[in-house]
Amino acid sequence: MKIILLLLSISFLLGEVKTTSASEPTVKAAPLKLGIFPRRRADATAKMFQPLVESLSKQLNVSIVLETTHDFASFWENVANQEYDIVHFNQYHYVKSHPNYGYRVITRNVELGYSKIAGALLVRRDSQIKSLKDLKGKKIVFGGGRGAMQAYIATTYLLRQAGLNKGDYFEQFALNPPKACIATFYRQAAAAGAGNYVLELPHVKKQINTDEMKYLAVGESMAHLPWAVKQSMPDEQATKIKNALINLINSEKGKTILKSAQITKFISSTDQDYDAHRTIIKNVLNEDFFP
Amino acid sequence: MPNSHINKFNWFGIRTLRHRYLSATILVSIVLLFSAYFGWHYVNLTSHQQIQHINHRTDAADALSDVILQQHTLETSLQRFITLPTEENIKTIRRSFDLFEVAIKKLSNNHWIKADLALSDLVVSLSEDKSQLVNVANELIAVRRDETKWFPALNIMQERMFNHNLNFMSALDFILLESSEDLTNKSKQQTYKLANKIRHSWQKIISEFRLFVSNSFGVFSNNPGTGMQARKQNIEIYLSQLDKLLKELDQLDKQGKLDILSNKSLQDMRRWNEQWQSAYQDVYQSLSSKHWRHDLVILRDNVTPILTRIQQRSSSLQLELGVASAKNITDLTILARGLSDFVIFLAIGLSVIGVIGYFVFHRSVLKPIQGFSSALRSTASGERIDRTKLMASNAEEFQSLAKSFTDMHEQVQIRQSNLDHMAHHDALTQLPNRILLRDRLELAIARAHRDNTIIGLMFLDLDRFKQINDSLGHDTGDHLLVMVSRRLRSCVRSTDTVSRLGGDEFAIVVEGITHVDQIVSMARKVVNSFVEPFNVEKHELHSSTSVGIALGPNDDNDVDALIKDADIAMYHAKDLGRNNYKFYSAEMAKQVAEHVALENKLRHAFEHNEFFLLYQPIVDINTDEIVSTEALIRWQHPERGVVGPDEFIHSLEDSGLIRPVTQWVLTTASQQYLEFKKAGYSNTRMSVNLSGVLLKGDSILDIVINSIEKTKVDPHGLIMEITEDTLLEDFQGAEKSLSILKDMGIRIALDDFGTGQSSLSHLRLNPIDIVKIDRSFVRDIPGDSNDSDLVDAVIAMAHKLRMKVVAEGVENKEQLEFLRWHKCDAIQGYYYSKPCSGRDILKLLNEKNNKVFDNRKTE
Repeated sequence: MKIILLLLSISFLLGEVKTTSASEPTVKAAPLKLGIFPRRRADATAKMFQPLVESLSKQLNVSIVLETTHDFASFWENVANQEYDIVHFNQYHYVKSHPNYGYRVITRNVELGYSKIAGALLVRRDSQIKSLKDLKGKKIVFGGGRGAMQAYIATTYLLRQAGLNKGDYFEQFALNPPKACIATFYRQAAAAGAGNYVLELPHVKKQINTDEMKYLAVGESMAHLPWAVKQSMPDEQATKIKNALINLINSEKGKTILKSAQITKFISSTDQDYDAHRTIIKNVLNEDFFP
Repeated sequence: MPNSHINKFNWFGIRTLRHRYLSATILVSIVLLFSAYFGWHYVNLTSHQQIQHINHRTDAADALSDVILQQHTLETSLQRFITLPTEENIKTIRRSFDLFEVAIKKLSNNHWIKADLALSDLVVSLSEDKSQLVNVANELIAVRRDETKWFPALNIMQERMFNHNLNFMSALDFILLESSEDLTNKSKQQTYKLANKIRHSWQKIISEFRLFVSNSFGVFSNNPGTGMQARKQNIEIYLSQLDKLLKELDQLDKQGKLDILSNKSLQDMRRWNEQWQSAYQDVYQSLSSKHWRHDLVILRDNVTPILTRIQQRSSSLQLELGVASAKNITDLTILARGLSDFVIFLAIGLSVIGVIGYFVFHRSVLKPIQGFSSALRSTASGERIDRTKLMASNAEEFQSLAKSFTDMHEQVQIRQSNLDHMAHHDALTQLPNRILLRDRLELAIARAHRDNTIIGLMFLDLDRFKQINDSLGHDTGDHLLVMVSRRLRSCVRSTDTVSRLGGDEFAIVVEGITHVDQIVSMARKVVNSFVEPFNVEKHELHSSTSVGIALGPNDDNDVDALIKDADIAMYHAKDLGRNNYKFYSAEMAKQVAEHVALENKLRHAFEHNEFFLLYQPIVDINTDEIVSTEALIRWQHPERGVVGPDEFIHSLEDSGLIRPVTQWVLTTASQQYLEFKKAGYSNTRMSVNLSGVLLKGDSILDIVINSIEKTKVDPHGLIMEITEDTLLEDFQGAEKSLSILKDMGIRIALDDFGTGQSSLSHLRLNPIDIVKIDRSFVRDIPGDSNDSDLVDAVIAMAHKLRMKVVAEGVENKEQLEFLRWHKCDAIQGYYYSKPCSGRDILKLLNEKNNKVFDNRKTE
């Protein structure tokens, strides 16, 4: 019995020693929560961004938890509750969150080499539609919902500028911009509202012959999808996060992480970069998000 | 080189065409079968998938339409419930939710939805939307059913304003009551009036407030805001008035005009008024805000966004359905196009295979066949064979065929060479034959023209060859011909051509002659070469030749003409006597032409009965009796008068007329003989001359038998006369025919004996009954001792051979006496009678006593 107790004591002591002698960094701060807007399926999003989260966590020496939602309502609820420390927004939700919940942009995406993106309306090449005015009375399918910055808001702005108001055309919504483009390819709508490089997306090229599509109108190029941090986050930490993201492009491992996230690189961005979005949102949705 | 070229296409070591084409056919068949199978499999699979997609999509569309329907139903039900919050409407909402749930479940279980994660997520979101909608709908129902929650201002009004109003009015009533107790008191009267004014103002305030609340529901106007604002202004004015009145009342209090109790009521009024106004402000704020009706707030802020999301998601699903449908159609179109392309590809493939097959076939079969064809043509035309053409294919069949062909070609060449030799050479003597002679003659004529020289064409045949052949046999004759050919070759130069034309006929082409003497010299040499006898099989044969010579291009330029000229010349040489040569001349040709003309005239003469017979009696030398008459043919020529047989017998023989003419002569003579017999001269026979031509074969027998049958003449009364040369030409044939005639009872007489070349053996072997000594021997007897001795010898010989002897051409008594002295049996000649008609012969027979003859002699 004594022997057993002795062994247990030794093993307990060894365990203590092992625990205390571990050279791994200890995460002392509270975990940061990183939220990503539901641009893609939640599981796909998690798979794409988990390497980035791990890298960021390691560089910041902070535990970071990736949180994905499967719809905008849930996502927005979290934003409204300011549950996220770091958020990858779409442009509309960023400008909406900034005055309401204080999120501030630190960096933005460069995708397929583009640091800016514009809303674009696409039609089939064999379509009789030659200008935006020809869309009067036609059905336009927008990628995503009414909160989609480029696919809906920016393209609707283009329509407004062309003199087409709500009710002059039929609105329909696809799950996302690529699906809007594919729907138009298959003649389910006269035009598609999407981004200005939707035809370059590999999975679009895989599904349709993009040569049969053309851009009818392309709007003003605007800052791409932002990454923002909570208002209460210290500037030093925000800068660290920003630098960590921007520097990913400088290492092979970082490039792999970026590739996994389908992002070319990150570049620095400020809130002013999204004033153009605010202007368009105000015009289209009559929502004023200027600070 | 060709083999190395061929080896590049060695068909993977398959060596025979059969195996190559079998392999190619199997390969193509396998490719076609596999193509067809995979095409079928692909179409089957794709169409099956498409049908499944369509079915699943149809189910999804059905479920989605249910979702949309229930969404609309819900929207309508909720709106109806807000207007009329009855239990029935609540049940309708619940039912719609249940059906909505069913439709979403149906949608989520759909295969097409399950297959697409994005769509599955969308349906999950729809389900969540529905759950959220259930919650907010419940909240809405609860709010709508609870009026305080439904209309928050009501609570303020009930809980606060109502009591404040009552309290205010109670306090005011107390002041009124206390001041009314003594209206005579000026102060109380003043207080009473002021209190009444306050009461009136308060009542207006309450009234306006009621209007304000009513306006918020839109009772008076479609624009509630305007009415509410107007009432609010009124309330504020009345409140201002009220405040002023209360201040006046307060002033009275300060002046001490109010009682203590009224003073307390005034203070109460002030407090209730302030509290009422505070509540009023709250009501105003409530009614002016968006939340003045909680149910509408829930509807707008909670229900509508969810319904919008549901509508948007349904719309997205509808869009995806449309895309999927279009995609199906596109896929089917692509499938149809693919099938069409496959068919075209197959057609092109088959065409290409066909073309390749053709080229392969052309290369491996047609080209080799062409090579063989070309080789055969080359062979046919005598050209050299291009062996590379035969080796155009490495196929075993063609290799074998090529070898067989080469072997055959060599054999054919050998045989052709032999045939060529046989075709151009005489098989017996190996001399060039007539065909080669013509070729060489043609070339010789051309060369003579070119070199300005002369060519000589000699035609020759062997004299007496037939007798040699007949008597000693064909082998001996053939041997003789071989020896003759050798001698002829030895007579000419190597450049000259000796040819055997057939039988015993030879021709020699002599080229490069500059003077006629050269050919004369050669002709003599040829003739002289026959002087020395030919020793054949222990026989010493003597032969000679007659040579006809034509000169080219002097006589003629044409091969046929030159041959004809030489032939004519040869016959003239023969006519001149054997062992001779003769040059062709124009006169000879003229004679030939005359001969032909004569033949035509003779034919005409026979057809027009211009021939007639005369009869010359043959008289027994001892009894002077006419023992027979010789029928002699004459031609009553329309221009020349009577023409003797010497002028036309040869022509009759040459033209073949001799047969019908002899038939006519024999028949006519037989009839005459029957007349003689009928006249009582039964011992007198009829003698008819036969041409030697008729003794060749059975012609004479047919003629004689025909005549006998026709005239019923007794053959014993007939004598057939033949010449010595007849026996020489076809001894065996003549002997056979004459024996048959003799067996029939006909006697045979040898005419013109002594002029021919018959040997004694001919006399001995042939069935000759009578020998007729030619007139040339009789003419000079008895004066010419030679002829006399000869006649004597012939008579003696004939008698020894038991033959009768008739002397021809007896014209005088000396001749008669000589012949009688030497025991000649009978005579024929002018001494007794010249040839005369049958009637005259009958007269002679009637006058057969010697007187007649004496008288004649006297004449």
